[in-house]
Amino acid sequence: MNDQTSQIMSVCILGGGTAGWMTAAALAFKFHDSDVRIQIVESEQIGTVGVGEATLPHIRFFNQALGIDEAEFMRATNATFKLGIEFCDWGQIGDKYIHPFGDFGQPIDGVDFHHVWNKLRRSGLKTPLEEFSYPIIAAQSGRFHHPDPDPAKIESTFGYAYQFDSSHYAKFLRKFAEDRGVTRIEGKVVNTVQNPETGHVETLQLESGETVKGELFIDCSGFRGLLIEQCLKTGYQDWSEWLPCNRAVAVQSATVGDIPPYTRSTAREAGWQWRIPLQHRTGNGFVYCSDYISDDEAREQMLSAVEGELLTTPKQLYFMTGRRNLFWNKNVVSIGLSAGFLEPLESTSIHFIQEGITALLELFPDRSFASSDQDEYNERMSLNFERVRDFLLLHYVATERDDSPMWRHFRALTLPDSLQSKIDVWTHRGLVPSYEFSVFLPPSWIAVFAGQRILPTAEDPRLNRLSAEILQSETETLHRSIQSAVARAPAHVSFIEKIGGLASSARAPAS
Amino acid sequence: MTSAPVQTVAICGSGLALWMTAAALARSLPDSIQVTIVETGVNPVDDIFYGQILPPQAYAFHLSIGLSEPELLLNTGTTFALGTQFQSWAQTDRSWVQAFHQPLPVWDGVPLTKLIHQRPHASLQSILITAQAGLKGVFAHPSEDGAHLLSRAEYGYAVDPNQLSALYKASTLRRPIPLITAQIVSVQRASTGITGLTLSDGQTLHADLFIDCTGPLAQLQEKTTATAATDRTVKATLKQTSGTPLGAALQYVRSGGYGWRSEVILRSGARRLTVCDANAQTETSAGPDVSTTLTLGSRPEGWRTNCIAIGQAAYVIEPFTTAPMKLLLRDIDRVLKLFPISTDMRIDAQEYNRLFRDDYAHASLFNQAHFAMSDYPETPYWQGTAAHNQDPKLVRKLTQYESRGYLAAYDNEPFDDVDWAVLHDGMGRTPQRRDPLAALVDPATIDTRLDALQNAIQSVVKKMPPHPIYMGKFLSYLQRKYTRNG
Repeated sequence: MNDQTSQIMSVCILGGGTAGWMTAAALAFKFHDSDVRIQIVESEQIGTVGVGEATLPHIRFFNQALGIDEAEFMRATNATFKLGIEFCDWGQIGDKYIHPFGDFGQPIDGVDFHHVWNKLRRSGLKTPLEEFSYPIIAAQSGRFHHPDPDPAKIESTFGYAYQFDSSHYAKFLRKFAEDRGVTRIEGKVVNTVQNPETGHVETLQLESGETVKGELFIDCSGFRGLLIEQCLKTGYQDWSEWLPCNRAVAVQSATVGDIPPYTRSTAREAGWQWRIPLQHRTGNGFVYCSDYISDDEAREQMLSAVEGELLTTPKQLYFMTGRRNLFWNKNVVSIGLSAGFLEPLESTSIHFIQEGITALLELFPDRSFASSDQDEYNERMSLNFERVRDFLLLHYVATERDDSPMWRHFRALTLPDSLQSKIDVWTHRGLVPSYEFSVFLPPSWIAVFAGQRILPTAEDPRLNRLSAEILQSETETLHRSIQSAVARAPAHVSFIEKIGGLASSARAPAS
Repeated sequence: MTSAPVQTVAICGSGLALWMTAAALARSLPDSIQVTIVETGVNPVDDIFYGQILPPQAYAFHLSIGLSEPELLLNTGTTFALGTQFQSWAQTDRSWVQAFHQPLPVWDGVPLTKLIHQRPHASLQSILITAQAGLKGVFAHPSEDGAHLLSRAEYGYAVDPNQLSALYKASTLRRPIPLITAQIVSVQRASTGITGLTLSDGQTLHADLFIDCTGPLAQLQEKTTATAATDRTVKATLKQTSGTPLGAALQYVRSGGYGWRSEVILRSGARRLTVCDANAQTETSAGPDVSTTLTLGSRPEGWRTNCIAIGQAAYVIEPFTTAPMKLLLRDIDRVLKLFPISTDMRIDAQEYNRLFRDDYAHASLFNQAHFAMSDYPETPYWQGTAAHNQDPKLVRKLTQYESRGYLAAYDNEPFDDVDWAVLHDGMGRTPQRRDPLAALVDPATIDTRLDALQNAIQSVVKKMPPHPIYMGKFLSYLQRKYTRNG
C-alpha cells in the first residue's frame, strides 16, 4: 500500500498547444482539491501547429467531464457543429459522399440495414446508401439540432462533433486550467537534466536561466518531441510506407455562403485538401506527398481551390507519419504530435490527445513508476494508432483512381493483413469485422466502403427470409421519415444562435 | 470468383450442441436453404461437461429462437441462477459468489472496482446485489426501473443439458425439417472438403455445408490434421438425486484434492458434477449415474473447408465457470453471422476462425485465472492446472490487477470487467498500490456512499422472497396463465 510519500506531487507539461492545454485542463480538474502541483512551460516564441480544427464526437465527453458549458465553449472557440466529413473525388473524380457520425438506417429483422440496401441495389435500386442516414441528409441540407433523447425517433440516430479554432480552444482551456491552479511558466527550454542513474528527466533549464523541476513530465512539445525524443531518444516508427503524405500547407479564408455542419476533404493528384468551416472563417489545408508535388505547386493548387478571400499567408508544415516507439518512456509521457502523427483525414489528431489523457489518468503513476503502468499505456496507445492507420489507408486504396503517380502507388501497395481481411470480408458478404477497442466502428467503415465504390457482392443470407416487397416498403418508409424529419430541423447557424453559441465575431445568420 | 450458393446444410451430432445449433439455424435461415439434421444419439454423456448453468446471455438466444422463459420453465426442471458460489476453492479459505451483474458504477470519475480497494472494511461482494441475494437464498426478477438496485442484477439458469436439448429439439421440429436418426459410418472427402456422409441406414448424405456437433469425437473432422491442442485429461462424473428441495439460486463449486465438484438443485432434483484428474483414484460414492473422460483443449480452427465444428467438437473446456456454455452460444452466433454465401467459404472461414480463436483464448484466460496461484494442492489435478499460467495475455491481466487494480481487457471478451473484478477479488488478489486518482477521492465520502449502497442492497434483499417460494408462485402463475390461454 502506498501512502502520501509515494504520490507524485509535481507534474510538468512541456508545450502549450492544444495537447498541452487539454492535458493541463484535465489534470487540473482531477487534481483540483489536492496538493499536486501542475506546471506548464510554454514559449510564445514557438508557434503551435494548431492541429485538427475538426474533431470526433468523443470531444463532447471530454468537455462534459470537465463540466464545460457547450454554448460558452462554442462562443469562445468560434465553433460550429459537425455531422461528418464530405469526401470528394476519392473513389473516382466527380464522386462525393459523407462519412456521418451515425448509423445507416435501422436493422430489419435483426439484419443491419446496409444489407437490405445492398440487396435492393443489386436488383436495381438507384437511391444511394447515404440517403438512409439522417445525419447525412441533415448535413447536406445545412441543418442541425441536438440528437433527440427518444431512441425510437429517427432524429436520435446520430452523434456530432465540433469544428473549432484550436488556438482559441487552447486559450479557453488555459483559463480553465489556470483558474484551477495550474502554473504557466513562459520560457524556452535550452537544456534538460536527467537523473544519472534512472535516466528520468528531472529538470528543465529555460533560456532565462530559470529551472523547472518535475516528477512526471508530459511532452506536448510537438513534432520534435523535446523530451521523448531529443532527450530520451525513444525512436520513431516510420509509417510512410503506408501513408506517404509528409507535408501540408494551410491557410485561412473568409467563408463564402452558408456555414455547413460538416468538414470537407477533397482528393487531389498528390494528396488531399481540407475545408473546415468555423463561425468566423474557413480553415483550408492541403496534405501532400513531396515525392509527387513540389511545395510551390502544392501551395498554388491549394490556393486555386480556396473559395473565399485569404485571411492569412499560407503556412508550411512538415511531418512523418508514424508513432513513437514508446509513447511513455521513463517519466515522460508524450501526448499530441510528440507521440505520433497520422494525417488528419478523419479528424483524429485531437482524438489521440484525448485518448492519451484518458489512458494517462487511468494509469496515472506514483513515484515508483511501475513499469506495468507504462507497458499498459503503450499497449493501449499502440492499438489506437494501428487501428486508425488501417482506416485512413482504406481511403487511399478503396478507389478506382489511377490518374497520377500517387494513386498508382496505392494501387500497387500490399496492404497490412488486418486491413486486407476487412476489405475481403466486406466485399464477400457486406460484413465489417468489428473490434471493441477501435474509434471507428462498423458504420464508419461502411460509409467509406460504400462511398468509395467498394460494394459487397452478396449480403447476409438471413435476409432471404423476408420478401422483396417487405424490404422495399420498409426502405421507402425509412427514406420518407428521414426526409420529413430533416425538413423539420433548424438551419445550422440558427441553431447555434438559439443555444447561445454564436461568438460576437461570427457572421450573423443569413435569416 | 463465382461459385454456387449454399443450398444444403447437414447438422450432425447429438445433444445440446446439435439442438441448440439446429434451433438457431431453423429459425434464421431462409426456406431456400435445405437443412437436414442427422441425430447420432440421444443425451450424450459428454454433455455433462457443458456444465449446469446457462449464463445471462442465454436469454437473448432464447428470444432469437422464439423460446420464452415460461416455456423454458414449464417444460424443464430449470431454476434461476444468480451465479456460482466457490467454496474453499483450491483447498484454501477462499470463498466467493461469482455473481452475474451489470457493469458497476463510476464514482467521481473512478470505477467503483478501484475505489473499493482502498476501503479496508468494504468488500466487492457486499455491493453486488446478486451475490447478496444468492447468499440469502432469495430471488426476484431484475427490475426494469433503472433507478432500482435490482436493475443491476442479471441472472442465468441452473439447467440439465438433456432437458434443454429436448426443449430445443421440440422447438426445432416445429418446422418441417428432415431428421435422420442414424450413425455416421464414414466421411467422404475431396480437396474441397466433405462431399458426403455414409450413414448407418445405408444412405449417403450430401450437403454444401456440414456442421459437426458430434462432441469430442468430432467425427467429421480430418483426423490427420485437426488434432486438438491437447492439455490435461480429466474424468467427469454426474450424480443425480431426486427429491431435493430447492435452495438458493446458486451453483456451488467446492474443491478437493481430487479436483472440484459443482452442485445445483433443479426442480427435477439435485445434480452433482465431479471433475478430477483422469488418472486419479476416484472416491466413488454409491453408483454414479454417468461418467466420462475428456481431454481438454481446442482445435486450431473451428471451421475447415466446408465443415464447422460446434461446441465440444471444437474444444473442451472445464465447466466450473460458464465458459463452455458461453462459447457454445458464441459458436452459434458466429455461424449465423458468417453463414456462408456460397460454396467458396474461404473468407467466411477465415473471419470465423479469427473470432473463434479469440473467444476460446479469452474464455480460457478466465478459467485459467482460477488456477493462477502461488501454491497448489499437491495432487495430480491441481499440479496439472499450473501449465498455462505464463500465457502473456493472462500475465498482463494479472500484473495490471495486482499492480493497481486496473482491468486490462481484450476485444469482445466473453467475460467482462465485472466478471474479472469479482474473480480477482474472490481469488484474494489485492492490488499492491492504491490507484493515485482513487486516492484523491475523500475516504469519508466513499465510506458514506459505500455504507449507503450496502444498506440499500440489504434492505432490498430483505424484501425479496426465498428462491423456492418465488419459483413456486411464478410457476403457478404461469400454469394458470398458459392453461387459460390454452
